[in-house]
Amino acid sequence: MKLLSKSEQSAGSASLSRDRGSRKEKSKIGLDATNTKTAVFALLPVFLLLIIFLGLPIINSLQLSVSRWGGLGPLEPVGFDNYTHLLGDEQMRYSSRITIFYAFTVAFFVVAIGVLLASAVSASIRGHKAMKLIWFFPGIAPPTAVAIFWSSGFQPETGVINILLGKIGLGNTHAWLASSDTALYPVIFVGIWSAVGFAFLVILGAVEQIPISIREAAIVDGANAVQQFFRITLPLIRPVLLTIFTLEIIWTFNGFTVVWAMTNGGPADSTSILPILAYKEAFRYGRFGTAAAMAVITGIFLMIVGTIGIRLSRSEQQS
Amino acid sequence: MDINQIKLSVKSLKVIGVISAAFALVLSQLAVTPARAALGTAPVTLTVQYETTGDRPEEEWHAVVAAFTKKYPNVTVNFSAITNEAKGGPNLQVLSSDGAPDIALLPLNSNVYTQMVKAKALVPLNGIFKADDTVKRIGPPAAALKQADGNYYATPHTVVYYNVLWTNPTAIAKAKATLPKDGRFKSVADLVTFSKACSKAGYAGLAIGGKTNFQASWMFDSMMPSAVSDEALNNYINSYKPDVAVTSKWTDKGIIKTLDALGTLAKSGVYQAGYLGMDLDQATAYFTAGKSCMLLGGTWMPGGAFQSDTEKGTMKFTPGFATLPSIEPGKYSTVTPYYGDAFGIPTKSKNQEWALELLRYFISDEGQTIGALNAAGNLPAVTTIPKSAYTKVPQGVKDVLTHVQKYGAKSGWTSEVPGAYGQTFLNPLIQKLQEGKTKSADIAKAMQTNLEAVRKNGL
Repeated sequence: MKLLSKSEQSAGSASLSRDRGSRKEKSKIGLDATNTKTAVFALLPVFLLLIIFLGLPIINSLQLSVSRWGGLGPLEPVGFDNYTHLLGDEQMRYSSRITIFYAFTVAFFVVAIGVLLASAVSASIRGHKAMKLIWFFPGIAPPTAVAIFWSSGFQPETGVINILLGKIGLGNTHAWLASSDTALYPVIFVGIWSAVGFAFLVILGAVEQIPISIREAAIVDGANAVQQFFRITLPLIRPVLLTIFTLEIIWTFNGFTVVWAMTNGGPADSTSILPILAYKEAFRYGRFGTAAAMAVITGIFLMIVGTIGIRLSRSEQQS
Repeated sequence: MDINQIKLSVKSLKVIGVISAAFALVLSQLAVTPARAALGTAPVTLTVQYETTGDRPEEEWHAVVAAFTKKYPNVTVNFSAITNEAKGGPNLQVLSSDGAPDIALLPLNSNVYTQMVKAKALVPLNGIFKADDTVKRIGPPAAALKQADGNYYATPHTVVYYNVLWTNPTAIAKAKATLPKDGRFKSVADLVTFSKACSKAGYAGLAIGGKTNFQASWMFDSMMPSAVSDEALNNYINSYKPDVAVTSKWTDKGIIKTLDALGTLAKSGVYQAGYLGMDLDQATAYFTAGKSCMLLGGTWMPGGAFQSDTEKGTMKFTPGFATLPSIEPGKYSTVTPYYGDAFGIPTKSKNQEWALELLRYFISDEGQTIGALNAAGNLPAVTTIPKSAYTKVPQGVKDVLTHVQKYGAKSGWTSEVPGAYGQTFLNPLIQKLQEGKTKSADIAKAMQTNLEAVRKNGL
């Protein structure tokens, strides 16, 4: 193999950055022994960090998930017992269902509200500058404080929501958090409320990057505001929306603080989403093996969701 | 006898007195500080864990440590506060790490204690228990502290009583509701009638923190002993241990009746609106604000929330108390004792000898008087301190103690058994029952299955 001189390499690198698609170009790029060593040396810290902070915990979790462990002492291997137990466990099935519902509902509304707000602000409606700030505030508030605030807000009679409903004649004794049929809905509301600010800012960035010439052309063609939104804005920001949607699903799926602080996973385990169930299994029941198996199952599910989200986002970008 | 002889005698007496005093001083020093010589005088820093909330543990520890460090000036004590949530779960990782505190908070019914004992990760405290007659001083509850291997690994510091129904005399008078004369509701129907009178007058009958992970099962602790025999109660408490024969099944009549009673109380609107969405702090605030006739609480409240709310002016009455209804006629539910938030020494402690010395002092009569009684206003875990010393204990707590002395207090199942088998398992099931989404018989069946699983697989 012909080795390239340094000048040829730099020329080759420049050429690569100009034309990434050419495999032929790529094949010209080669590294001599010294450069290989340098590259390996340069990459070593990254690989070490990956092994320490990603590889080892994953291996540890996998090992734990096929063991019985109470939190102290040696692991007792149990094969796939934890997984088979979880597959047949009614609470696990219930928690999986509500977690998926919770994550997808929050993600959907966060993106939908984010788009509406971004469009409104981008259209420079009155007060748009203040809106940017106001909507971002919930996103920077500590989740525990948010959960405690809203947990009080939903209390019958004394909670702000009930007081408001009472003022408009809809009664002030609604106890949503006290019923397993309704407790998840306030949690979803708070999830949306606290996440929408970040999504809104990212989506606003995407909306404002749409070239003005495209809008002007649409206006010349006689498109009204609604048509511009559906025919121009939405299609052009779709990759960003898909990314935000995917991220929100993952974040909400793994969310613990808000649900825990608002409901403790109750009443009667009705809001025990998977992270809460895993926490209870590990720290309340001392079944770290089952909790680790839950983490592995959840991790695989989220990897699939993430992969689909990234692929869809990429294909949107390419199209 | 001439005057010189008398003078000599007085002089001799003085000399004897001085020598005796010096001897006594030396003896007392030897008695008080047997460890001083062995432990040395090199500077040492201990770390002590306590809970951020509850029965004023911070005040208690600070007072005890101040007295201890006066005796041992070379000792410095740092404090590490942990939350109620952490003490029963995530604290296990702290206690088993190299950064473990020297004295650890160990709720006896938590997974933390279960696992630490199982892994022999706690220093035996047999020396403390033997040296100062601690077993005798604590009394019968000390028996539960002895583990299967014959060792003691934790020492309690106070006894609190829960399942106390704190009452609001103003609300009760306005509602024209009638409390039993001896404060003991004879039946569930009596409590329902009482609560209905309160509701009519605009008060909730009984405020409870239904969201909190223990209140639903508390009532089971109080009412179940009034539905089963003492032998059966003892068996329910111990039968999770594989070496104890199961003589009482969870599907027995008494258990079903108790669970039925809990379901009836919920169905009859005894509790405040939205109780399953409120934690104990919210329920307490609800009560102190005068919105309910009663609150399900414990003896840490008069010196805690009641005192602070009274000082803030949000609590405008002096509470009385009552106890939960009984299941079987002729029997009574009682308040429930809890010795559970105990302290121990992790084997990872780097200053075990000094930690033992501090813990020994903490549970001594002197330490209990300084800490539990005077600093925190709690009831001490030991029974050897005269009642005349209970000057800082709030009157409400003293009244409960008098009630206990008269009517007794039976052990609570969820306080005695490990949480993973007891409280953690039962609480969501009772919440379901309160919502009308399960039946007593199904819970009983689930508890029996759980018992069999724990006996077979361990905890």
